[in-house]
Amino acid sequence: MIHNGWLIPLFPLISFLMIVFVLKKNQKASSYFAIAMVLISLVLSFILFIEMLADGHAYHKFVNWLSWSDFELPMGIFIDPLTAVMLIVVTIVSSLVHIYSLGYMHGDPRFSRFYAYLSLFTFSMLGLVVAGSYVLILVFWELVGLTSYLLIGFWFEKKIAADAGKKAFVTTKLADLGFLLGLMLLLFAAHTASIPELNELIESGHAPMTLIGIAGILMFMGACGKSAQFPFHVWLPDAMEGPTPVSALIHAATMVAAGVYLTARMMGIILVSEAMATVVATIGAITAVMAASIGLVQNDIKRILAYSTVSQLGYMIMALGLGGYTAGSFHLFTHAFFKALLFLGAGSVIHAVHTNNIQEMGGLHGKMKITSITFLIASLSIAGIFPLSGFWSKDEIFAVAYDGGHYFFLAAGIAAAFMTAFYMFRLYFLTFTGTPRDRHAYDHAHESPLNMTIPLMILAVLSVCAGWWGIPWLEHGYGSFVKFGHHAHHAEPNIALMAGSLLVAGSGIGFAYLVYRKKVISAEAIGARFKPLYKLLYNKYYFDELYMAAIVNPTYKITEIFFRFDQVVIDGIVNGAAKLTLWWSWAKERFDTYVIDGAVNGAGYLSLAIGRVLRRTQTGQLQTYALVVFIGAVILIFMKFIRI
Amino acid sequence: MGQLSLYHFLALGAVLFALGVFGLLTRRNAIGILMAIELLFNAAAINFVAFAKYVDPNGLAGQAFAIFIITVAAAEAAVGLAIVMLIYRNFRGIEVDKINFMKW
Amino acid sequence: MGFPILSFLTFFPLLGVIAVLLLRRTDIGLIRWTAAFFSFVPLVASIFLVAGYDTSTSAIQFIERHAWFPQINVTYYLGADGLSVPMLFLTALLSFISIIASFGIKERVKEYFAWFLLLEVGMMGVFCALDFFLFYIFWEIMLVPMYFLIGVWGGPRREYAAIKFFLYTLFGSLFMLVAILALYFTTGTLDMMELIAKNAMYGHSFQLWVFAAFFIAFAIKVPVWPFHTWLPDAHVEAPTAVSVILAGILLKMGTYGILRVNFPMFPEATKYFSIPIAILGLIGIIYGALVSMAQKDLKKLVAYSSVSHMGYCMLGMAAITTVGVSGCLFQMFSHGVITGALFLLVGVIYDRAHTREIAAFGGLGAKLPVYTGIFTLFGMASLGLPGMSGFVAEFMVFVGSFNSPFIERWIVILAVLGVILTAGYILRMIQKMFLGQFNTKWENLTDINGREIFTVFPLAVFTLLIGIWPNSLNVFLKATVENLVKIFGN
Repeated sequence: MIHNGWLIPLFPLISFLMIVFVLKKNQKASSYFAIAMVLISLVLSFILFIEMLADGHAYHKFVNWLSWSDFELPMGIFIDPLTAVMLIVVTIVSSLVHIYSLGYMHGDPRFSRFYAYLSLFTFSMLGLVVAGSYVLILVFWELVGLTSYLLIGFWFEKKIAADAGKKAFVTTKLADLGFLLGLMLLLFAAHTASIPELNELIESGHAPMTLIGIAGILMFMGACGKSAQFPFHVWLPDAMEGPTPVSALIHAATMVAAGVYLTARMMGIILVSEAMATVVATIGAITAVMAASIGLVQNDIKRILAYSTVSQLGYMIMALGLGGYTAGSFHLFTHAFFKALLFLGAGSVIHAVHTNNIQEMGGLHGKMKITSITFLIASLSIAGIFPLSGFWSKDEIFAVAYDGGHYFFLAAGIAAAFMTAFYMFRLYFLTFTGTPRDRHAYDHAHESPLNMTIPLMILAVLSVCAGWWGIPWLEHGYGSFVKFGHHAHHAEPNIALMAGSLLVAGSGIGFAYLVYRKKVISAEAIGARFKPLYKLLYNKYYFDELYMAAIVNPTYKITEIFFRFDQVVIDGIVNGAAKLTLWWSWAKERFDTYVIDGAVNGAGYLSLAIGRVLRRTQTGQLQTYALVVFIGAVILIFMKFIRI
Repeated sequence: MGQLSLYHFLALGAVLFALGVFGLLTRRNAIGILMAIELLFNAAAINFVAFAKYVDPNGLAGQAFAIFIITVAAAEAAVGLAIVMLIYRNFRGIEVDKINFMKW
Repeated sequence: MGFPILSFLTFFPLLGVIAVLLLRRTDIGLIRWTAAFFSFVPLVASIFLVAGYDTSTSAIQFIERHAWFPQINVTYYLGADGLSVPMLFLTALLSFISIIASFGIKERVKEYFAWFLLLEVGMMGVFCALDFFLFYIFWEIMLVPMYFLIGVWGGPRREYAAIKFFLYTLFGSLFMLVAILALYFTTGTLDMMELIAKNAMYGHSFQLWVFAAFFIAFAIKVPVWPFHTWLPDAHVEAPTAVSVILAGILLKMGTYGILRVNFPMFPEATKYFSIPIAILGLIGIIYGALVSMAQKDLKKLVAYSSVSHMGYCMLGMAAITTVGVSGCLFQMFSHGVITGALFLLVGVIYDRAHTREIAAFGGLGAKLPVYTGIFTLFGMASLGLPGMSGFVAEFMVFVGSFNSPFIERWIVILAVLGVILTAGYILRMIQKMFLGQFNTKWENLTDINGREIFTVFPLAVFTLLIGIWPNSLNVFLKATVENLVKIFGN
């Protein structure tokens, strides 16, 4: 299967085409066909994964896509252990979301279209994962962006959803300018964009490292956009306007992780320079802390999860920047499951109470046992409680920071971990425990149907167990499979660190318990005490307002100015030239009329005038005429005589 | 006083011609004008005959012209009177100063 | 010498003009189908042309050459190479599609189709003429039908637009005429290939002046900023099918002319002017995109987007690298297909709603799902979404110009900003028209019909084909482009 890895993305594509052109009228057929296709991809991915476990060697295959005598741009696939892991993550989450949506999207008028988009997304995401050249990655990168746009704005009648889709597309596109520029620079410096060739080139040491390093940082900008890293993080919370299964699949587990995946792919380039690695790690750390702090005070269940996603992605980026290839990708692996579970659980809740506001929920545990329990598992996992997945992967990251002596980043990680534990349990307690704050919503709440709860249960199992693959004591664990370079990264298990991280997570949960369950400490009192800080966090550090004022509005202003310029200046010159010509021709016409034609007509008028005078002599009196003749004759005769 | 010379005839012709011209220019009656024209004709005829007699006694050209003039005068009188008749019918009068409709 | 396929392509529509003129003006159906037939046959012929083209050589093929006015050394010289074959095919395709799309024309149908077929004659001729005399004739012939098509069947300001278009282009043609005469009196020939072979003969300043004259003539057609203001007016006023031809073919004549004439004939001047050309391209990209964003009229938005997209062509050719010039040619083809389709789609909604004001719509996605889907597809193609031809073209332009020894890299870096601006105005347009609350005023709108889908379908196929498998187009260009770039010896 490794050699035929390109087949895996193909099945969702078939499903997309079939739904759009054939099945769209039949909702049932569309959804079942899509599910069947993604399940085939899932099975194939598992086969590939198992083969890769046994083999462990990277495989690549390229075909001629564009070529000239002096330049080539081949396209192909590149499959290594990281690819195998990503394939598993994407296909599992995608399959579960496909199934979950049967219930969640039931009755939507655009049900078939939803499955078409899901299929298109799955195709693009899988394509992105197996792509063997950065150009091809860019291709799928943009395609996942498109499907993200389409799915965020799926309920496009809501203006806010349509706006969010556009915001997501434009923000990530802005970041992708960096990707594009980096790619251009890469092609210029290294004359190749193929991942295996580039890796060889860097290993050989004959590459212009500085240029490649700059290219890498530019491409990392693209990754920041996709993974909603500071300062491009603003689109992800808004993206929550999309249907919840979409948030789970695209904006939690897979697409947003694409940036992390890309950064991991570019590990060789990033590690070229210390400065660049620091930039990457810093951006990750800033994002992790900032997003977690915003998450503390939000009230929209999905937005809290979105900020949590941003924060967790920051973790991964930070880990990669610190050289923790294994740690970063492992956290990506575990995070996908528990975050997808959190979103699907949130979806289940929203499905039941028809609101996103956690202040209007409460006490739902009694009504929705499965959702509540699975949600609790996921919350514990993300908080990093032993022995759930999140504990192991988060611990890997701490270990990387600690071993490398990066205590600043370790502190940032711990701060974010504390906040994560706190806001997750704030969310949990407010939603599932206590007394219902909205009686009406509570009364109508009910557990979701099986096709929604079964994916929850499967993900709950994965949220618990997936991390066990990376237990540091394991001989052939994750670290020896997904590794950078030829040597397995083997962090020494550090019991003290583990205990510390457990303590931080526990205190976060405990604090949330005191505030929101026992109500020993009043949330309002804290909010009032730190009012400026609370407002700052509640308004998300005013990033949206800043961007609106600094980028979006000026752009619109400029467009108006340019259009004016076009109309007034350029067209003014053109029309002015035309007017001048017209004036000139008008003047010529006057000249013609009065001077040239005047001469011609004047001759006519003159003869007329003379005639008018002379005709007075015509009296009609014959005798007068005769007299004149006679006088004339006499004059003639006299002249004759005078002459001679 | 002696013999009649050419000059006597020429003088008679001139007097007749002058009378004719005077009549032509001054008469208001169309008939009068016609008569004045006859005088002009006759003045010319006398001159012809006189010159024939004194300048070329053997030739007959002068006499022939005189005959022509008489013929033409007759014809002219006929046509002229016919015109006068028509004028009279149309204008109820033959005063030429009233017949100025040919002016501009 | 086999079948004179280029003459056939060029003059077969002329038979169509005669045939249409012989029909009775009331036989509207017959006139339509006659016109369709006479544009369909060249399309088939152009497929044979593409199939018969030998992609391994950069030499001129399908040559037809006959003495014409031997006294002044004018020959009837037709030929095709990698520059012209794709353009000839595109011309045949878009002409046929436009004629099908014109079936809705109701006034003076007979004259309309006669002019249209005559237009096709001119366009075909420009792309295969290799003698300046012939080239100039075809170049000018095209103006007349275009003038009438805009001026008679156009929108409310049609006279203004038609005259503006005509005078603008004629203004450029004057420069071209002067340049042609200058060349003729220097070398005594009008044969383009011979003139290219003699390019070492021209002095430095002669090259610069003649280059500039030709460039102005072609730049107006492209249109290069600041010669672009005829375009929005002409596009907006012209009937749908004419806008398609304007955007799809006429603009390409400018870039085609530059690559056919300016580059190989005046390599020294080309190098000299490559940075100014690149800067003009950059201005076109950014400026066109910004002005597009300010538009309220849908058609005007698409029109200004053409200014932006043709800017990529200019940037790509200014690079004078294989990748850049190929990118330019890709962009020519791709813009022809995509913008042609966008104009057709604008026409579809205009026929139904009788307005093109973007703000007047809203939420059409719910009412017209198929139309929305197709529009979004081409909108995405226009903003350079990968998997479609626009992306390949833009990417090649960027990579090619970034690697170019002739232009400054900051120009390219600024040009990349155009991508985000394009995304901005396309998404804004899509959002305002198709997303949001459905405007109940449009309750009676019907979705796109079969004939209209038939017109855009082939364009979608080519957009995707080139986007996914660019080699399908590149094989035709490769030899010619490599040969062209070789002249500059880098």
